[in-house]
Amino acid sequence: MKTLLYALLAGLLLVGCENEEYLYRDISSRIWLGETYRSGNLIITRDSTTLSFMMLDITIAEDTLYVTANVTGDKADYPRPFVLEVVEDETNVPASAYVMGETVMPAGAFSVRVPVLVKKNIPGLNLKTTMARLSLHFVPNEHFLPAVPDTDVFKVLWSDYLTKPDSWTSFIEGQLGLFSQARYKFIIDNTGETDFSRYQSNLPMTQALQSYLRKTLAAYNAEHEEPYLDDDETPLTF
Amino acid sequence: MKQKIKHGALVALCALALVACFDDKGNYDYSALPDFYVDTTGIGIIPLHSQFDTLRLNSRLVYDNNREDLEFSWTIYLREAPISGNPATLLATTENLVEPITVYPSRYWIEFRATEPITGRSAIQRYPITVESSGSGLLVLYERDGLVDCDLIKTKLLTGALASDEVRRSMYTLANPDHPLTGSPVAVDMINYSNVQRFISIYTSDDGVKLSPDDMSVRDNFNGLFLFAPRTPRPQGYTVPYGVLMANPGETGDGLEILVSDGVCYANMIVFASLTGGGLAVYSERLSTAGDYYAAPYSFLGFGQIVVYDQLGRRFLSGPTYTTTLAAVVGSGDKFNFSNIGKDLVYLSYGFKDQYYIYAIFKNPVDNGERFLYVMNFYGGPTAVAAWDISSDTGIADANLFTFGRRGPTAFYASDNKVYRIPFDLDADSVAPAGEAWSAPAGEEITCLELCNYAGRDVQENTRDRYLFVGTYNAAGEGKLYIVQMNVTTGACVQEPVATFDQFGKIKDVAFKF
Repeated sequence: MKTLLYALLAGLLLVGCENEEYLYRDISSRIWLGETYRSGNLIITRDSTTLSFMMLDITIAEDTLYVTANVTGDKADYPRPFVLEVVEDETNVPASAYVMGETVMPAGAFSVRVPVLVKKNIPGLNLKTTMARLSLHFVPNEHFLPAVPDTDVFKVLWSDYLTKPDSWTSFIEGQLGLFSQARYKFIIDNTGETDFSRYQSNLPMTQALQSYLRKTLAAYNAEHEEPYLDDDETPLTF
Repeated sequence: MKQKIKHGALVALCALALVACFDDKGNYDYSALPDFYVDTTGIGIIPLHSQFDTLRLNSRLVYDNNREDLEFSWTIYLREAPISGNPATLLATTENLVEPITVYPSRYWIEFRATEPITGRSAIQRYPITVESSGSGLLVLYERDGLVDCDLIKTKLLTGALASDEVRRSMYTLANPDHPLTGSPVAVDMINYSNVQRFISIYTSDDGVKLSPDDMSVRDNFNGLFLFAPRTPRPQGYTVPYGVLMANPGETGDGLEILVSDGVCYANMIVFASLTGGGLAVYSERLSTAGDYYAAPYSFLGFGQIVVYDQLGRRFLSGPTYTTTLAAVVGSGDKFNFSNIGKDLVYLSYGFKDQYYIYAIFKNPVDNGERFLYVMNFYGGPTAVAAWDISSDTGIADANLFTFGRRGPTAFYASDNKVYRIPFDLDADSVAPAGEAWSAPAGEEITCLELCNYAGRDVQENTRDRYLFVGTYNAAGEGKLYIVQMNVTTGACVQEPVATFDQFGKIKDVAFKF
């Protein structure tokens, strides 16, 4: 009887050494495209990236934007190439308008930023009036499956004009005027401000900015034969 | 054999136990340590302690040896330790504590520690203490030995509830030892709105700070008051005008402040800065649409318009609070022309009959000693009310300190050690020769003259205009503040001050702190 009990106990102990199988059968890595950032209490995902050459020095003819590819699932201890394919229907630039960087998920990484060198001068496309658009679609391969729907496309957008920032609200309009390319450019060149969030509903702050811009504009006009012109070729005012 | 071993072990154990009962007859000498403790017999609790007030605590240390051999420390630290740590602040290294307590109002432990270096032993006593804000009182701004500072007078004349008058000394430098204020004092004033005192502002001729009313610590230095700060701070005048919102009549200010620095007018509509949401409140420069200007130090709010006097064009300029521009004032009335006064401004302030009446003292551009008192009413639009020649008044040509009453037709100026009253009658459009109203002791020069303009909340309602604050300075370098009682209707002053406070520097300004 004792011998039987000892044998049973030994058997139980040995069973305890067995490896447990994963509960999850699908362990394939997947990729989704986009960048997340925090805005207050919100986590926001961006499915595009933009650039205006107007924000840069006039001599700059090309700049780099990034497409962020993120892994869901396991990382790997070896580099894994992935494929980004141009969505022709949603792209209005030729291949010569940009240079894509290497699309490889580095070993041990959960995300990678793929550089896209974009050019200011594109034959057949006037960036002063039209936004350049490059739409990239993630294509599955032996290393990665697509992640959740709607996260497999990312847009790279660039222009040579300024777009109205979301923070240019009616309150800002009341203090700084209606949005225009020239007005925004003057503000950027003289204050570096591109985000007006901290001015919202804050009269002292917007008055201080308005007053500074008025003074700076007056100084500019005093130094130049031609006044600083708004988009409609009339003198800019604040 | 086993039995023998057991018995042997038992005997050995008993022997060891018995040996333990022997007295230790060591070969060293004993000497009793001297008494060294804090006598807590009858020790009381420390009542609420007002910030900046001097705390006096006797160590109550009992020690039989030479006390000069001891090391003492008094430290203070928070009773509820924050996660970030709870460092103790050293108050003193003397046996008894006599120090002003400058820490932020909260609950603290004060710990006394005496240490005997030879033995390393200590006697320790902790005292719970609650430090409260310095509370209401009259801030006195002065300059002494090249530094600007302010004291707080807590007097029952103004707040009523006090048992006795007290003065908290050097509040600014105690609270801000790392930010000394240099230059000459220009102004001290408060920003209040929605029944909350938001800031205390102090300006000097080369600096300016915004202070917390809770503990007088610097919240913003001069550059922090601006989005685009002027290159060189040159504050000349600071005004917290009446009635931006008209919500709390009686307050000294309702959320607007006007600063004149180096001839430029800056305004800050603090009340519209969303402060509850953490918004910054900064000055914006007011730009003239009527050519260059050089603002006189005095400004005011006239019926929703920020008004300054342009010493270049010798005219008034104004602009709505919600814009950043100033234009020439176009007024009515035939007494004078707002856009062409043609004189230099000496002084300007609010006065009788209400918050729309402004009184200004002018002199000729080439000063020939003549002085003029102009009265204007901004209700509904600027109106020239009166223009009187007061050149014949005694000492007026040398006077640069003026003050005007709000509750009655009273006006004063100071010359040397005397205060003169200018009798005037708005309805009759007349002014009589000034007469001596009060005089300081000989040898004292008047450096500050201000009627009490505070009422409501912590200040007794009947104090407005009732008291005249007269700051003086003598050759020995001591400043005094006299509180002189005045008849709010006739302007008659009682020569014997109702209160006198001394030990100040050269007083420039006073303001009531809630």
